[in-house]
This record gives sequence, C-alpha cells and structure tokens, in this order.
Amino acid sequence: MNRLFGWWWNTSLGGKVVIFSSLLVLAAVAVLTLVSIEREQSSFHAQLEAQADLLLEALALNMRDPLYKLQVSEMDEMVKIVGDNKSITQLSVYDSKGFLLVDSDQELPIAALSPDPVGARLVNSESGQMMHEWQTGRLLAGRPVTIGNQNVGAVAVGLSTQPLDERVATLTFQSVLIALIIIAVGLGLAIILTRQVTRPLEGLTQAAAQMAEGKHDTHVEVQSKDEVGQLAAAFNQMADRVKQRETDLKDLAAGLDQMVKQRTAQLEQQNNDLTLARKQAEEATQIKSQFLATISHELRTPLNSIMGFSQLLLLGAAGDLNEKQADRIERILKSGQELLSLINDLLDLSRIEAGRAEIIRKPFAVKTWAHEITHQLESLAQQKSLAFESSVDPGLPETLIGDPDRLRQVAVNLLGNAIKFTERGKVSFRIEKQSVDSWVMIVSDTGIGIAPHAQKFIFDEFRQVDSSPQREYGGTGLGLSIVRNLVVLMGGEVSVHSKVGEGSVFTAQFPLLTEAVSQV
Amino acid sequence: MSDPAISQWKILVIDDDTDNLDVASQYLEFVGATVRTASSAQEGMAILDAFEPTFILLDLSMPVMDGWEMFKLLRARPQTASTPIIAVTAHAMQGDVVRALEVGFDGYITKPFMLKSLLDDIKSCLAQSSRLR
Repeated sequence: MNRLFGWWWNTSLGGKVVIFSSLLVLAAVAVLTLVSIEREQSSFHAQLEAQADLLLEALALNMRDPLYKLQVSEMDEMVKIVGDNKSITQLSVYDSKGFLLVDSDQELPIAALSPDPVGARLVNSESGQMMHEWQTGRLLAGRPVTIGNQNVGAVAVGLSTQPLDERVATLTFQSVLIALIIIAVGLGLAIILTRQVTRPLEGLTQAAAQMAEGKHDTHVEVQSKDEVGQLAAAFNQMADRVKQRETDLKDLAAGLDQMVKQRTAQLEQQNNDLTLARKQAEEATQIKSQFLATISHELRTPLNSIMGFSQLLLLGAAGDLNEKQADRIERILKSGQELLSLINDLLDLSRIEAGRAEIIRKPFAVKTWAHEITHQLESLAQQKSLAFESSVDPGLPETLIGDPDRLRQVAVNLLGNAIKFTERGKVSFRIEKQSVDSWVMIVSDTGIGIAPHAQKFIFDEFRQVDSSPQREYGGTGLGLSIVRNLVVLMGGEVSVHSKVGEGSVFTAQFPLLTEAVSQV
Repeated sequence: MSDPAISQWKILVIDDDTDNLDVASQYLEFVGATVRTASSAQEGMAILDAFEPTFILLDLSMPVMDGWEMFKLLRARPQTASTPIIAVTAHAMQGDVVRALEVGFDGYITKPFMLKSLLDDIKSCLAQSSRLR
C-alpha cells in the first residue's frame, strides 16, 4: 500500500492526469460497449423468437394433417424441405404422446421406449403455447400441434444463434476499437494538455532551481495568460525583486565594507598616534625625571656647602659672631632649608608622576602615628603662638592598614600649610572614622582662607592663591599637588572647604582596609 | 662639646668637592674627631696605610674612580675589609639608598645634611654595622 502511494506521489503531475483520464475513458467505453451489446442481444433475441414462432406456426399448420394420419414419410419430406436452411439446426416432430417422430438430424427415429422430454413437455402444454428455450449456440422453440382442442403432436425447431454471436463479436470488436481510438486520442489530448500546463511549470521549476543556485537574473517565458502564465509573470516579478534586492544588498555591503575599512584605517591611525603620543609622553616624563634627578644632585652639592658652612659659623667654628652676623647667617641657613624642601618636593612629584612612587600596605598603630606627627608640628605652631589640637576617633581600629610614611607626608604637608597660612587662632588635626569602609584625616585652621575661584586649582602644581601670599608666606606650591597625588595613589580623595578670612578645612579620605585585604 | 667616643674616631673623608670636604672635616674636627681628607679615590687609597681610619665617609659620585669602585677595592683589601664605610651622596633617589645598602655600605647619608643630625646618623650607622659584624 505504502509502495503504491509512494509510486503515486512520485509520479509527475502530467503522469497523474494522463493515468486518471485514461482510466476514466476506459471505464466509459466499457460501460457503453456492455450496454450496447446488451441491447443488441435483446433485440436479436426478440427477432429470432418471432422468426421461430412464424416457422413453428407454418410447420404446425402443415403437420396437422400428417400427424393426425401419422404419415411419417410425408412429415419427413416436409422436414427435409423446411430444414434445408443453414440457420435451422434442428427440426423435430413429436406424436401426441411426445415420442419423436421425425428429426432433421436423424434418418428415421428409432422407436423409443419413452417419450422425448422436449416432446412430452410440448404436447402437455396448452394449445397455442409457445416454448422458447435458449441453449448454447441456439434457440430451441416448440409448440403443440392442435386440431380443435386436441393436441395431436408437437413441432420443435432449433435456430442457430451464430449470426448473433458474430454480430456481438463485431460489435465488441468495434467497441474495443472505438475505445482504443478514444483512449489514444484522449491520451494524446491529455498529454498535450498536461504538457501545456506542466511544461511552463517545469520551466518555472528549473528557473526556481537556478535561482536557488544563485542565478538571480533567471527569467521564464510567459506563454499564456492563464494561471500558469500569471504564475510565470509573478515569478519573473519576484526574480526581478530578488535581483534588485541582491544588488541593493551588494551595494550596501560594499558601502559598509568601505566604511569599515575607512574607520579601521582611521582607528589604526588614531591608535598609532596615541601610541606615539604615549611613548613621547613616557619619554618626556622619563627625561624630566632624569633631568630632575640630575638637577637635584647638582643643586644639593653646593647647598650642602652653603648650609654646612652656615652651621659651622653659627657653631662658632670660625670665631664668635655678633648678633647681626648670627641673624644673617640664620637667614642663609633658612633659605637653604627652603631650597632643599623645594628640591625634595620636585623630586617627590616627579617620582609620583613617573609612577615610581610605591605605596605599601602594612598595619600601623594610628595613635602612635598621629602622636609623632603632632609632636613634630606642635612646636612649629607654638612658634607662631597658635593652638594645636589633635584627636583620634576612638571608634577607629587601633591598627590601620596603609603606608604610614606616605600618610605622614600628606599630614605634614597639610598641617605645614595650615600653620603657614594662619596668624591667629588654632590648627587642628583630627583622624576620624567616616563610614564602615573609610576614614578621614581632617586638617582645619583659622587662617586667611582660600577664595572660591582658587579652590578649584589649589591642588594643581605651582598654583598658589595669588602671588602676594606666596611672597609673604613662602613655599613652592608643590605641597598640595603632592598631597593630592599621594592620596589618589592610596585610593582616596582630598577636598577643601574654605571661607576667606575664616579658615580652611582639608579633608583627605582613605579606604578603611582590613587585615584580610592587606594579606593579598 | 667633647664626646669621649667621638675623640676616638679616626675618619677618612673622601669627596671630589673640596667645599663639601671642608664642611665635613671642619665640623668633625670641631666636635673632636681626627679627620683626614682626600679629594679623589686614588688619593684616599694612598692615605689608607698610614692613617688606618676607624671608618670612612665616601662620596659616591666622583670622576675617574667613583665611590662604588673604591668601595670594591676597599673591601678587597684585608686591612679595610671590615672597616665601616658610609656613603655620603647628593643622590637622593630611593633606588640609590637601596642599591648602596645591598652592595654592603654600612650606611647612607644624604647631602645636604644638618650637622647635628650628621653625628647621630654616623653613630646609628656604626652601631648597626657593629651589630651585624
């Protein structure tokens, strides 16, 4: 079953149409032939029966007398004359008892012991009753012969059906022939018709296959305006669209490609520029650091003599000095110290900028650390009669994680500035816990303060508020820059709040590292 | 001003800068030490046998033979193999200090130095080197 279905599905559309229409024609011709044979047969049967009846009537009329007289030779004579006909296969005469008297097939009927079955049937039937019996190849017809109401015998005649068979054969032959011709013509027409449908379809199929292979300029010929023709036209439209789309896409892709190439080239150029710029910057920084290191060395050597001899003089190594002389030499020494701190600041900054300042992380006792700084700077404040307050938030852990030397540098710079720019009042140094993960170093003063516009750039290099305080208070302007750089390196940030004439508050915030982090 | 320990010091100071040399020697003599000076490594080597210093202050940056080379020569001589040698230099970069201590200098003093702290620095260097020996 599956194989049959498989075969059916695998057959082409044209094949299916041809097979189907052939079966239809075949069935129609078969039915028509059978019907016409049937009709022919029944009309022939009626004809033959009528012919038999006529013959029997004539025979019965002529046999009445001889039967009554039982003149067999006369009957024989008559049978011979009548029976001399090709279509008459048999002629029989029976007596009143149904015994066969004369038969066209036999010379003289041998006296029978029992009546002939046909004869008996005939003589016992009602007068005038016709008997028709269709046997193979012939019609056996018979009737009783009567005189008045008395059956005196019977006659029977066998008529050949050969003409009928011939005619049926001819008819069948003709029907088959016609059927064959119709099938042939039908097949031809079916083939031609299906061809007309399937050929353009095949063309379409081929075109579609070509299109699938990528030949997008494929077209099919439009031969008709029927559905197939419309399909072909639609296909061509589609092909045009696809072609157009493909062209558009190619253009778009080419455009994109071009754009990507341009952008890549641009980026490469930018990248190269950046690499070069970075290299140049690195080299510049390197050269600057090297230069500063050399300058530092070259400055320190004469500075050592200046400061050394100043100290020797002050020690009285070259004899006693009067007050004026001592004062001047003190000033030389102080200037030397300032120059030294400038050189140190420059070196520090260049080290930080070159990324060579290493920040370590180690535990340190924050109270001891703060106490050392307070001790170091308290005297400076006292020299200017300033109050100095210092506190450590008891909420902080006793041990902090960080770089105590760098933190000290930040604190000393901020406190040094605070003392430097404060004439009256106090300077305070507070270490406080800010949140779970941060702590702050707050340095506040009651000094001259910083103008709002200047607060933005005080952490920049060589920027003091204006030139006059610089002259009045000295200093290099590098301190806050170093502070900011160091604080950022340690993962924190520094900010300032200030009012001119009231004072400044510098807040440096640092991450509150735990022991676990420092282990990493 | 007289410190009994300092009066025992016999110091050889070597520096190509004569002003620096004078500052160091005049101060050290002022505080009671015996000082000999040399303005080059070669000169310093020449003085050694006769002088036999208790320790040496050696400038690192000198022409012809620098402090690093002279340090090697001094350590190679049996007479000075264990004499404390303190580097005195105007090079203030962190790397220089580490390098000097790694090579085996007994201390490192940065110029310019304050005279008061120079004595303390020398004392702590000597104490540290005697602890190590």
